[in-house]
Amino acid sequence: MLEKSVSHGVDFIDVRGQYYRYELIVVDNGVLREYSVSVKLGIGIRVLVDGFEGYASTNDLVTGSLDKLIDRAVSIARASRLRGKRVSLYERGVVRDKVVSRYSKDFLNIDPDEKLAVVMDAYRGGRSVDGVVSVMARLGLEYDHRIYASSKGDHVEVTTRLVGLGVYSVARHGDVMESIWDSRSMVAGWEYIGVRDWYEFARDVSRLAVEASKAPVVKPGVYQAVLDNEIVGLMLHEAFGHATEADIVESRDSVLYGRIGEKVASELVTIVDDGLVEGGYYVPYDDEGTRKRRVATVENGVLKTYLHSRSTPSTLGGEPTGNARAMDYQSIPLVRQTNTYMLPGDYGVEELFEDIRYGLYIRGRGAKGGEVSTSTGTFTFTAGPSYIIENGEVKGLVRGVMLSGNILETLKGVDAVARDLKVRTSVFGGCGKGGQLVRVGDGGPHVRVKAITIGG
Amino acid sequence: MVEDVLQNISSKIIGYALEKGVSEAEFYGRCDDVLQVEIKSSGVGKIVSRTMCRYALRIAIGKRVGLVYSENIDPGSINDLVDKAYSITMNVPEDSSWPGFSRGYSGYGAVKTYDEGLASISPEELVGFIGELIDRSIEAALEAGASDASITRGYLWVIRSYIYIENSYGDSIGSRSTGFSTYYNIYVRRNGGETAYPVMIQLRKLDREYIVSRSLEDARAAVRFIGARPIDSGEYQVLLMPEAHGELVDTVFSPAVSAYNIQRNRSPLKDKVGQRIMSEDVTILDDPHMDYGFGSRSFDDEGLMTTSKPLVEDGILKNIVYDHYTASIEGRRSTGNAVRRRLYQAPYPAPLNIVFKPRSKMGLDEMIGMIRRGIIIYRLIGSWMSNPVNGSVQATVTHGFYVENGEIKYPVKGVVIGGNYYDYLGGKLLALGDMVINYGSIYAVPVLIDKVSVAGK
Repeated sequence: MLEKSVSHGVDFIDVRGQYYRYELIVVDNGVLREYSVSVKLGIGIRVLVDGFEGYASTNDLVTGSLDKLIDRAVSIARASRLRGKRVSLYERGVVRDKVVSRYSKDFLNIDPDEKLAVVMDAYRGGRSVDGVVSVMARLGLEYDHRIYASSKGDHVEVTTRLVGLGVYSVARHGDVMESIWDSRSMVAGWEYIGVRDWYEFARDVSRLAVEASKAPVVKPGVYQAVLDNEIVGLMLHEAFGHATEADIVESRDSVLYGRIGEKVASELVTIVDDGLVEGGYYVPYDDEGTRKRRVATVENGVLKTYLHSRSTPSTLGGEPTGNARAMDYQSIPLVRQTNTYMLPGDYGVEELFEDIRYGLYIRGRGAKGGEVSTSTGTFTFTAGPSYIIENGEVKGLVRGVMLSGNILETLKGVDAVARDLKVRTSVFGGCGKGGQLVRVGDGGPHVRVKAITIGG
Repeated sequence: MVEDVLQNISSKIIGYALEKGVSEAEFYGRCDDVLQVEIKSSGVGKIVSRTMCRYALRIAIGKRVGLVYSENIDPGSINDLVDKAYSITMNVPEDSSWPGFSRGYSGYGAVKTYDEGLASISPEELVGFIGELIDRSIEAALEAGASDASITRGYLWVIRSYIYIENSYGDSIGSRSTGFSTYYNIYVRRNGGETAYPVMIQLRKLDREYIVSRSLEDARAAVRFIGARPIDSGEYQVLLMPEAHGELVDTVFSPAVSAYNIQRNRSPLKDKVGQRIMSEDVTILDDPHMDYGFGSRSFDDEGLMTTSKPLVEDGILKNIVYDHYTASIEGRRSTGNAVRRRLYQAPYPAPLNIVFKPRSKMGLDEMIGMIRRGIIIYRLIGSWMSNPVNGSVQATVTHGFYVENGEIKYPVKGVVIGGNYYDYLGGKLLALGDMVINYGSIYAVPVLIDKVSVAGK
């Protein structure tokens, strides 16, 4: 491809190749609903012609002509001239490397019946709890091999293995039905499956569903709150992290536009984007071949940088941070987060509760996710079943907890950060943007906020 | 030709699977040509042309069933894939309910799903059209009173697809379709206030006039939301506009009428067929035969003919939707609603085009006139976090208006609505409007609801 591009008159070309395999086993109410293996194999290219970008991709590696693929990319680059802007890629040294995520037992070599037994075990655990009316257990195994090469001489290969198991449980109490989904994943091999009792994990999920179905709905209002590790990670990723993505910032669709150097959070808050944190997803290089480095987007409450690809520094300043990521070979790399988390503080977790007379302990387990308007910072999240705090003590469970507010106001209201840091990723989901889903991780310590709006 | 690519793979893969000794096999292939344009800073950003063929193979050995999916169309990879499917299937337990793959493929007939104008648009022509859309939208916002307007960010997709399904019983069927989809934010500013208003349009054909008209209407509307603020917490009348209503239907109602969820106790509509679940003013169809409907199709993802049917008629739940597997569990015929959201997953029954046909309808002005103290909701975020298992609704209003005694007072944002969708369209329903706008394959109307819980200031 790189050699052929010369005859097509392109100034620069990079090629992304991918071999991907995803194995999914789903046991739904005792029946094997799915045992599937998915394979992706293809290439995507980017060309620069007179400063304009063109992208094209195909999985027709047999009958398809690579010349035609380059032609398509060139014609796209020419169409871009009509309403597009010239792109300037940040100059960096040539990168050549080959890395593989840590694992000791390759799940590609494990027998199907052994995998199925793990899922059935989890299913039975979930089903063993009284009050549960529906249980689904799933096992996901992902192998992702990516190659990046460019006409400048770059050649980077990254291989990642990700494994996880999740349980979805529905409980009924009278007319009330409540559902909980929870999962655990790790960048690892099959050895990860051995470190946890999945039967007990599933029982815990079902117990929470049953307890939630019996719990009252939270009363809407404004609460002082303690947020647990999971909900902190979710909020930071969705409500803050997206607003730091430079492609959003440069189109002025971010509440953080033009705010580098400004105080955007309490001084207790430091937020990082890190490709190699324990528990998170593995991103040693991005999909432009740039080494991913740990970046503090917020340091002691002050916005320090945006997350960049190779092209965004030319409009916003800064330098590439290794955050150009694509879902797969077909997709355009966009500026994406890797693992977003808040650095831990000095408080013990229990200390966060001590001064709260009446508040809410907001839990991430069973959370359905969140959404944010990046231009305004308005966010909304559905947390998992959570607890009322009374006079410093965690009391009864409540359900239907939906958080809403403005992220900058919320982060400025952080008045205590605990020492406990947890970061997690998932083989079942990720972050959506522009029709693409990429694996990410998020987390943080327990955090206390002065006020947060809860709808019920 | 993509037709040849899929048919050749299908023929080889089913042949080899039968040679291996499987009882039956089903091939599902799809080829897409996609033109995706990033919209940013009132211009275009990255543009990509994607061509891709992919396929799924399901095999059954007795009542053991396995599935493999591949984007590798090298004929040399076929045998390995079948071998893998065979080894998986031999190791899985039997599904005692397995009815075999669907047979007797057929289509409804001439449902229009393919637009030559959309299929043949060139990158230059598309970029030119986007440019016109951007310029005219900005102009409309400025004319409506904005001091500054721009299109900040979004995407536009043009898709041309071909689907081919074949089984080992000699059935095969194929069809072409096109799709147009765009969403972007229009940013407007006036007197120090600002807002960004999301625009979303999804069609099967390149109806330039309709696309421009919707875009300009939204550009003008955006200006009215400048200076939005929360209202006090309390109970309000709520007028859900079609796009906001469509979001709730998509999250809460659509999964609840799937036989798959009902059979697994994951729907509040279990055992409710024939019973009243909504106000008698509500009639909802699943109509996959509308010309150029966003979810329209002649046959479903198991090759079976799609059917038009009432889901709710005068408030009574009349039908739920089945695929071949869920129908056979109840000794029925499939309703032709098998959908493969992802090719690497087994089919799942889902409505195709949900269409509201209210018995009594009224205009928007009349509905607003009925509001004593309430909000009109145009845009929501987070509605997908509502719960189809119990019908509970939770969503945050990003663009709305506060109304008193039939008069719009000021724009509203940042408040959370809560409640239950079946209460909204049941005892709390005050009126349904006559304006239909599609949210994907949901063709929703405005609904005016009484006593909705709103968490605000």
